[in-house]
Amino acid sequence: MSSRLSVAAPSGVSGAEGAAGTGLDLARARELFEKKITRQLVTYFHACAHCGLCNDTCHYYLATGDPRMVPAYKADRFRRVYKRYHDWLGRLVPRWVGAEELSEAVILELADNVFGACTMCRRCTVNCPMGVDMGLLARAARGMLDALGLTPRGLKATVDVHLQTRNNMGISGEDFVDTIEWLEEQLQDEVGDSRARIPLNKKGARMLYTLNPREPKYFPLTILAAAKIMYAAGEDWTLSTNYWDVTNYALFSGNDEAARTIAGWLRDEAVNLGVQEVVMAECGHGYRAFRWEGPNWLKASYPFRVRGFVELMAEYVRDGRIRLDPARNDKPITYHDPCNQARSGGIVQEPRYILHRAAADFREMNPHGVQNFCCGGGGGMLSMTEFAERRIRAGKVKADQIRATGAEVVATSCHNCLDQLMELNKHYKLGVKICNLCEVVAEALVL
Amino acid sequence: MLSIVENEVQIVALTLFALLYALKLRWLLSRPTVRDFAHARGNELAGVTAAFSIMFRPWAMLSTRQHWPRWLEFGLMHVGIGTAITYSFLIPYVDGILKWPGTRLAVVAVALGFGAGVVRLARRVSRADVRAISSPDDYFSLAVVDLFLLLGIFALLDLYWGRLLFFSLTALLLVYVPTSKISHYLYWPFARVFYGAYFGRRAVVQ
Ligand code: SF4
Ligand code: SF4
Repeated sequence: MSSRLSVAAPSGVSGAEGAAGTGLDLARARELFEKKITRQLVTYFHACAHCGLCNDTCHYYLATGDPRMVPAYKADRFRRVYKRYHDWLGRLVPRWVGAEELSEAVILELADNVFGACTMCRRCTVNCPMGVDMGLLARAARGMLDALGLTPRGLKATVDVHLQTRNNMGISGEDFVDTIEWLEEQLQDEVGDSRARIPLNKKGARMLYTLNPREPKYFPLTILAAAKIMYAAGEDWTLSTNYWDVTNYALFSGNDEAARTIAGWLRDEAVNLGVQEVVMAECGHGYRAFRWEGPNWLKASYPFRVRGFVELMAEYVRDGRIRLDPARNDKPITYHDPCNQARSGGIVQEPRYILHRAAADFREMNPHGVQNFCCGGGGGMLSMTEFAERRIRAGKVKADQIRATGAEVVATSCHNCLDQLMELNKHYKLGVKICNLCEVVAEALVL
Repeated sequence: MLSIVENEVQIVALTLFALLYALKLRWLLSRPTVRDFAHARGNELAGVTAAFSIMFRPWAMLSTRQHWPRWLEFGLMHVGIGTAITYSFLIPYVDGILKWPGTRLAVVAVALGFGAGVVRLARRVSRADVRAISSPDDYFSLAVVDLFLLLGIFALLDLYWGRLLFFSLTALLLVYVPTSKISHYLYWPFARVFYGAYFGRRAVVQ
């Protein structure tokens, strides 16, 4: 695993080159660190018994066998700073408890760990007898590092573009509308109904649907699949040209201010259109960011409901609003649970409910659901190209899981997972087809 | 001598212990907590209940299902510790407790706890992945608790020097524990509430 745990500035960590040996404001780092210490964090700093039970729950450790990849070791890169300033023994005899002063080396190693060796997937958390929340610790550390200008360039750029253009790929309003209009024509052809619509900016629609910018840019057919499903269900829905991006990479950079701004745009647009519900396209982190973290960043509950598209599709099937023919998906298929949707969002039953009805041969990975392994693409890892080699290596656990099912198709509900699975497919020569769940449902639709 | 170690010394050590814990709690409670504004999907109370009971349900967590001997060690060691601590209060104040037939069972519990503790120490020393997360405090804490259990066996067998050493170590431990990693159990209820409420609300833990 090249460049692993390097204490030199991780290449591509923005600002890090300038920081190594110079420039890094340690007093400010300390101040930022102190601001991050909530009651939850203090608890998780102290609660770890270093028992090692979580060691083999982490895909990084399983794929490499490197002891420095075990969750508690990674958490200790942050914990040791806390101990140096807030633990009695840590202050008196730092080495006795592994405490360390905030220094450039400590900060850069922390950056390398929390950005490059943890996808914040929380598999260790749900397997820890104390419940030490590594996802929370890693995000708090990332937030501190972000404020110090140490967020890896690709991740920072994604957040910056989002803040500048209101979507993370900088897609212009014109291009967006062109794509949607083209897709509307495709939809009409597919369903044989010239009145079929992909509504834009429809005030008072029941539901506002959001998109991942990767869809209009690279995967427009997933928008078509979703539109087809909503057409079949007779849904009263709309897209918005004012704000439509499901993603929020500030969840990954740890920048609460940016996260709040982005979540606020979607909240305001939903209020403006007067919808009863916002439905998040198949995007694991986007779902978690807006559904679960957004209200906390905004410090207020939403006056509307938020669901993932998977939940809505399951409801359509359950209520008989769409009919599915499993014979149309006759190849063996498995499902990859996006961590942010399953382990951090509780959406576990719905995709299974759907797949048992939309496919003839659905096979579970072992383990799956809340215990599913991260694909390696979580935590914004796809945007941090400097850690690509690690990401692919850590993804071997997922590749082995897929291979063991004998499936020919892998469905998932997340664009980051989709991208990572496609890379794993190529690298580990899995020979499977990777798709979003809505594509499987659209294929099985009986119109 | 034994009477002083079993009484006055323990009371002083316990007072210090309580004071140190109070200071730790004060620091913890002085930090801001995070309020959850998201509409619940599941049930916080169910999550907290599940979180607290998970320790008694090794089948409920994949890690303890896969490593059930580790869960057993954990259980034996903590039962042993609990028994030894209970006897540190009973011996000075309950006449004849060491002659009570139930004490034989207590000796077995403490001995099993000691055995489990030794296995845990051996793992900490021998496995690279556990060594990587171990500070001197981790080794020392485990070793000293093992010693506490060993001396507990002798104390429960009513050996004079066993009692003297057991109570002397108990007094030292009462002061060391709040400052060391052993104090993790003070945070256990908080950790369980935070974890259970957070994941219960999201219907991840039920
Ligand atoms: S995080 Fe939990 S499981 Fe892992 S070493 Fe710490 S206490 Fe043990
Ligand atoms: S959160 Fe996931 S990636 Fe991070 S240490 Fe835990 S298991 Fe590993």
